[in-house]
Amino acid sequence: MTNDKMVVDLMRKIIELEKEYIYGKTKQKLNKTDKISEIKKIIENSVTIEGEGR
Amino acid sequence: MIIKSLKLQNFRQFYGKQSIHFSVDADKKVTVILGNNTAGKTTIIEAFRWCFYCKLNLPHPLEIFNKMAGNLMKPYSEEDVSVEVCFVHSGIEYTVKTSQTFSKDEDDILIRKTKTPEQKIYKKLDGNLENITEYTQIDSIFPEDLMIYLFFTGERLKQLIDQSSIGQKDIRYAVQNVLGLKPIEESLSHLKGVSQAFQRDYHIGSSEQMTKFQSEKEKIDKTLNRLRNDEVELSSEIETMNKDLDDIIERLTRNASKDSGETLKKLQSEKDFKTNQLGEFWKKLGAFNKNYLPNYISRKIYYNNEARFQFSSKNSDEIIDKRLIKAIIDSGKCICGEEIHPGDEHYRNLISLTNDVCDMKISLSIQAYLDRRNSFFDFSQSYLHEVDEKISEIFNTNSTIQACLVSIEDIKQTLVGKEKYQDIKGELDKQNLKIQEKNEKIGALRTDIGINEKETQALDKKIDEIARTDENNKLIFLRKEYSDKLYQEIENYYRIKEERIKSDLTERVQKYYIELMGNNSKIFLNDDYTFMVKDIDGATGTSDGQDVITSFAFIGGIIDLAKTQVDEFIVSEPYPLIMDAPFALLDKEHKERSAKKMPDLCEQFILFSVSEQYSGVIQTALSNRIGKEYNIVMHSVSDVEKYSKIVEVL
Repeated sequence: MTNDKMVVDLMRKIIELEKEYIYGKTKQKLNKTDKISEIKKIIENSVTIEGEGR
Repeated sequence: MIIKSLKLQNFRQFYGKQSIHFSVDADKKVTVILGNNTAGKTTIIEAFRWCFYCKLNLPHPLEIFNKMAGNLMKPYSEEDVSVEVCFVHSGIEYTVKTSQTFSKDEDDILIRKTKTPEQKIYKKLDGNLENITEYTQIDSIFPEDLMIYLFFTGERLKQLIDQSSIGQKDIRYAVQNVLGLKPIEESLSHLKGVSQAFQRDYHIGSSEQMTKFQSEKEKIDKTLNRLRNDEVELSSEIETMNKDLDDIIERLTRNASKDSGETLKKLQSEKDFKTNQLGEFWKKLGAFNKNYLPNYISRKIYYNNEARFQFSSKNSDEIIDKRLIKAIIDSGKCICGEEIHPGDEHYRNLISLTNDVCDMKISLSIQAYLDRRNSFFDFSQSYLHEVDEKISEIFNTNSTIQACLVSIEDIKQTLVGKEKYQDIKGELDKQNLKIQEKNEKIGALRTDIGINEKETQALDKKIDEIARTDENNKLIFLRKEYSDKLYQEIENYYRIKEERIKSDLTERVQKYYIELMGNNSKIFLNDDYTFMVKDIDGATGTSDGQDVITSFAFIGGIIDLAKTQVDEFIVSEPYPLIMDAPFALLDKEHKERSAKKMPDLCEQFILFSVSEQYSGVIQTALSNRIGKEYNIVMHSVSDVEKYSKIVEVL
């Protein structure tokens, strides 16, 4: 089961990151695999065994 | 963003340092830049793009450098080409300067000292310019896609008006970016990858079933990859074919227009019809004359004779005619009482008298003559009328034929050296057929992809179900579940946001269309963000002028939406609108309407035009709103050395 609040927080974080990918000076040069890895890390850091995503 | 100034140095036609200060006055927001063709109007618009995004389409990179400046350089010397734009964005003044250095080698050959242009961005803080190049991207201040809707060269405007496939692609991409959909769309693409990455993290070996499903999935994934590659290839082929299709349509418009071809066909068929008709008319006239001309001529003769005779004797009192003498001889007795016998003197006298008198009485003869003449009278009048009508028909038909021949010749003259409409139309039909075949192929391919995706999804679910309860995979499953949930939520958010944008955009474009066009045609937004106009009868055909107006309305709608839509992605901001000869295709009424309205769509309006198109209604319509005016004047130093000079007029 996913936690709605966490889903919304993650949505915001991911879209902000996407804006950085498109407009940001440093992130723009990342390739698709790197971008996917960054998003994956954000989810991994938020969803842990301790919190179990809640 | 409001543009304050543009400074050019040795940029293309513009020799040395030249500058334009645009009007920033809200009441007089229009800057007019006039110049003949090839003077450099489009170059100025391209200068902005080069300055902001270091992009410029040139046949050769050295062409960016002014020829005259290059010729004046000595060996081993260096010169810069640069464009500097000063603008205000979100209340902050920025200056962007892009430059590239050129040098002459020992053989006096011009070379690029730096292969790529260098861009510097400055921000004005407390009256000082601070270099912010290191941490600022121009796209974050002024996205390139927004430029598509604000900076219009003649070619760009034409693409938008024509809604060519290149134009359509640009439009969809730009609308998504300008209106904040691009980051959302990108996140969807990346989240798919994240979910797949989590699945790859599963510890497969911990369950036999999981290993089995994973092996099945790998097989299907291989097929899917192949199908997807085929789809990409086929899509690219279709895209190229669509571009070729645009070229054919362009040729079709440029060469023998359909109208000319059809008009020619119509004229030729009318000429043939009238020629046949003319033959028929001549035949009818011939037959009519054969029957009635002798009668008509007789009537003429009767009248002519009548004029020669004195018909006053019609009632003369002569009483003897041949019939009376014959009756006396036959009776054997003269009216004087003498007996008459054949051969006697009386008899001979009477016979001799028959030689001197008429067969019948003159009065009776005249009456018979007049009766005969009168029988012709009515008919002769109608004969003349009939002939007159028939000759008129012949003359009219002949005139029509002559007019057709002249028009046919005129049209033929306009088609000299051009391709035949039917030939290009044939090519167009063939190309459409080819595209249709490819589309059918890609459709079948997509069905296969869909079937395989379903299978792989079913296997994913099975693997997920095992992972959910497996201690080694529980956490990875949870993270994957979040990734999938995020995909669903963002997809939903995208759909709602796109619907809202489409509806808002349509409303705004409709408003501007009515204001510019002056009628109540209905505007519909297609899925690819192009627009369709339907008039009150539901007809969708539009003229070139209507297409221009629709494009203006669309530009207005986009700018309006970008300005007023304030959410987490968009910040309200004034925008300039820069256009090269936008009114050329419009009639007088719509030129005036558009010239009055266009400055209202933006906070700054920069108009490029040739003088002839500008003077008259456009100049009058804009007269109270012009803050700055420039002329681009071409100077010829020699046949090959020419340069353009920007001259301030107002």
